[in-house]
Parts: sequence; C-alpha cells; structure tokens
Amino acid sequence: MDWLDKVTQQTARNIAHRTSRRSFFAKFGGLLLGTAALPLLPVARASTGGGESRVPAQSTGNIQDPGDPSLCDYWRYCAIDGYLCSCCGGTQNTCPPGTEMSPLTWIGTCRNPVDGRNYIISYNDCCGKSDCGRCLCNRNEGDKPIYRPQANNDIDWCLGTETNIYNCSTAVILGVATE
Amino acid sequence: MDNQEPGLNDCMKNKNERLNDWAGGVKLCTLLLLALSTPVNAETFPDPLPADPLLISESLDTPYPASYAVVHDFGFGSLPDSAFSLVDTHTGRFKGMMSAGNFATFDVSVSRQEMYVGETYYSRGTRGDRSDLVTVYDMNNLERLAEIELPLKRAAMVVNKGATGITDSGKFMLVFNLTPATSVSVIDLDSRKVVNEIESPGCSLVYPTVKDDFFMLCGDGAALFISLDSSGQVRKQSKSQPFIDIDNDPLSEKSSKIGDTWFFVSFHGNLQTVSAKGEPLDSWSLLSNNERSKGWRPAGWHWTASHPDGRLWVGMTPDGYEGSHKDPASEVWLFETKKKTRLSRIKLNVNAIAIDVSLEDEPRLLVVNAAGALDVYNAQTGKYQNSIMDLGASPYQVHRLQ
Repeated sequence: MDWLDKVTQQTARNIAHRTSRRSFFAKFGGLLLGTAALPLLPVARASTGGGESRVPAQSTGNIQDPGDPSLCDYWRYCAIDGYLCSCCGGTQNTCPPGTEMSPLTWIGTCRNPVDGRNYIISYNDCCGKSDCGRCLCNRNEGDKPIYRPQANNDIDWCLGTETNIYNCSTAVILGVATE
Repeated sequence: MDNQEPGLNDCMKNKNERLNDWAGGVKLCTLLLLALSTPVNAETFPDPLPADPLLISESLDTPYPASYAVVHDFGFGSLPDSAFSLVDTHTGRFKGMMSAGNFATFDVSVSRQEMYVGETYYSRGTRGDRSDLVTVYDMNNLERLAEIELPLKRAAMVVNKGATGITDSGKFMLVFNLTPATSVSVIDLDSRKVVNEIESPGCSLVYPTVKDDFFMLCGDGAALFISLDSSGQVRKQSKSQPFIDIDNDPLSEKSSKIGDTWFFVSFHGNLQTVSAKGEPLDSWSLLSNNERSKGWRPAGWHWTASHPDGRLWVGMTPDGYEGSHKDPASEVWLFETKKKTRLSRIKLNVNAIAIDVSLEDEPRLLVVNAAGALDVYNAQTGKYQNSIMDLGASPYQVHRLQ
C-alpha cells in the first residue's frame, strides 16, 4: 500500500496547509479516511485523563511541543480515542515495532497551548497486533456520529492495512490549520 | 485435624480472650472438635450419593422469559475475543454465553428462535486469511447452527445496534459495510445466503421499518430509504431532504424504534422522529430552558430505550460540554412520546453506559453501568431491583430479546 500511503499523506498535507477542517471535509469527505479511534469509554478516560500516570513520564524534547505524550491531556489528543502508542512502544507520531500504520485516518484540529496555533492532526491507527491495552484515552471534541465517518472515532480505522486488527493510536501533525 | 479451620480458630481465640466466659468457650470448642473429627450424620444418610451422569451440557427452556437479556462484552483489551452473555434479569442468573470475534454485532429472531452474531476472524488469530460471517445460534442450547459467509467488508466499529438489523418481515438480515466505501449486504435468513449487496455512497447504518423496508443516515444530513422485494433486490429507493444539523447538533445514531417510527435524540437533547419511509416527522426538545441552562444533555454509549406503548427512556448527564456525548449518564429520563411529556427522572445508583427496557408486564430498565455490571430497575418507578456482576472486560451494550 505504499502508493496509497504516499498519495494520502501528500494530499492530506497539501490540503491541510490550505484549508480549514470543515472545508477539508466538505470537499473530500467521501474519500477522506479517517482515524482511529476506538472508543474508550469515559470510564477509561477517567482513569487516564487527568489522574496520576501509570507509565514513566515522557517529553517530546521540544518546548514548542509541550506536555507528556503518554498522558491523555497532551494537546494533540483533543479528539483521539484509543490506546496511546506512546505507551505501547511507539511515539505520538510513530507506530510500535512490527505494527503497520493505517494510511486512512480522520483529522482533528487541536490548539497548541505554547505557540497558540491550531494544528491539523491525523489520528492514524497502528494495526496488525492485538490491543496494546495501555494508556486508554478517549476525547470526543468534534466527534460526529458514524454516518459522517470521516469525523467519527468509533470506527476501527485499520483500513487499507494487512488486517483490521487494532493496536494503538497516534496523533501526527499534518500542518497548521488556516481559517 | 485441620487447625486452619476458621470455626476452630475463632473458638480458640474466644477462649483466650474471653476469660470471663471461658467455660462456655470450652464447651463450644469441644463440640466443634467432635464435629470435625467424626463422620457427620452418616447414620442419617445410610446411602451414598449416586455417581453423576457424565458429559452433560445444559439446554434452555424456550421461548425465553421476557426477563432474559444479552449483554455484549466488546472485549476491549483483546478485541479479537469478544463475547455475549445471556442473563436472566429477574433472578440475576447467568444462563450461558456466545463467543465472538472482532467487532461483533448481535441480532435475534424470536420467531425463528435464532440469534445472529456478526464477526470477523483471521485464520491465525491476528493474522492470516480474513473471514467475515454471521454465525447463527440456536436459542435452545446456544449451539451454532450455521455460519453465513459475508463479503470481506463488514464494518468494524465499536458496538452499535445500527450496524445490523433484521427486516420487519423477518425475511432478511442487513449488514452495514464500511471499507470506507459504504454498502449493505442482504442475507436471506431462509437460505442463509447473501443475496444482494446495495451500494450506499455517503450513507451508513441500517434502520429497518416495515415489511422489508429500511433507511440509512447520510453524511449530508439526509436519510436514504430502500425497499426490498421478496428476493432481496431493491424495489424502490429514495433520499429525503437533509434534516440533520450534523455540524451543530447531530442526531445520535444510537436510537430506538416505537411501532414503525424511529426516535433519534440529538447531542443537545432534541428529539427527532423519522417515518417508515425515512422522512423526518416531529421534532421537540426533551429539556426545559432551566435544564438546558444547567447543561443537561443526553449521554452514554447507547442512550435510548423504548416500549411499544410509546414510552421512551433517555440517559442524561448534567454539566454537558463539547464531547460529553459519550460520558456515562447519571440519570435516565422517562418520556411519554405521544403526549410529548416527561413522566419521571430516574436517578441511577451507578452511571450508565447503555440502557434497554424489557417487555414484561412490569418492564425492567436494564442498565450497563460504568463499573461493568448490569443494574436492573423498575422501568416505570425507577426502583432498584438487583445487579449482575462480572459480565466481561468491557460490557458496552444490552439487548432485550424481542
């Protein structure tokens, strides 16, 4: 699926630099493929989203990318729904070893609290191994019902991958959202 | 003599600590020591127990009482291994279960006395050749009757009652596909074969209405109506005008049916009815201005339940915010939909993830709670009745067996 990866990534990056989230979906909603996100119930969020961490602290090492990517309140995770790959052998933007990143994702818009910019975030799932089971995080800002799939995080977005077995979720910066 | 026997230990402790009553302690301990060191009442039971029969599995009396329900364990933490538990909400007894695969669905046909589990497997667990199927279970013994092979495109999503459905006639089962291209597989339940696949670009999920009619909801806010003929082919198809404000106040897809009409509740608490032809009917608010100002909103994983007499139950939470629509509900509000009035507010012991209502003479409100148990209340009065614990790693849904 290399070709699909490349086409999807480049298209998304190009569009993301030029458009707002809403117009992005309006134009490409039928194709736009979305994210990952398995649902965690708020029950899960309560246990991971603001309380004490159950994993060693992490940092991006970049003061412009603040927060701990192993915690649910990390700024990029504003619409994520799943196990955080940062706790599963990957990072906030890479998959754990031996898993396959889905080329199809859905897109959220999250505000970086340090530089004040709104970034377009692609919530790619990592696929091919069973649930990581660590650092469950469910935030539903902007989540829409399944009948608008490109904006829904109940769907297993392990599509276009070798299997639809879900492992964890990433939050990849595509670019700055321009209104 | 086993000196770990708790009764004996207690006695020894009592003897040492209660000196002012030591004589009584000695007497009690002597009796216990005698009881533990000699055969108990063998003379009363001169015959030993007979040998048990071997290799017996239970079966169930059918049709089931209306108090039976199925709880769906999504298996979050090990998604390829999910399960459905059959429970009696009256007695609290666990009656049996059905194993299931990745992203399973559940349907039941009382007239056929069959249950249908949609599931995806890989030949080597998490890898290998994919199989999508609907597995048919006999309600009498929970044994597999058949496996219906599906096109390898059934939608993988968190538990959702709209992912599959059986038409009102009982003839066809509908399976929503997402690749992410959207379509519907039509299964003939007599032949147990897929007889059609209907493309539905931009439209998702299935809501059966009358005969072999159903509608889907679309990304532009409209509904797609489809009517099947007796062979499962499309007899008629039409699309409504858009009536859902998806950007500002979307209708949750997790809805309930009364008669021929589907009842959808929006994220902000507005009720929208949709006709058997997929056309919008009435719309009214479930909230007073005061309740709205306090942030009351519908909430939960599946937040509606209905009764054929027109009653509708809706899970609600206060202090709502953008994204609170999947938070557990602290109350369930009961409405009379014919009069468009609220009858009562039921405060829950433990917040709800999903609800349903049994069809008994005195219906029970079935609540999958946020702690993973099934709580049972009187659906009219809200009086708590009992709980059924330990129903899997992530029970997200409850189905009455209608």
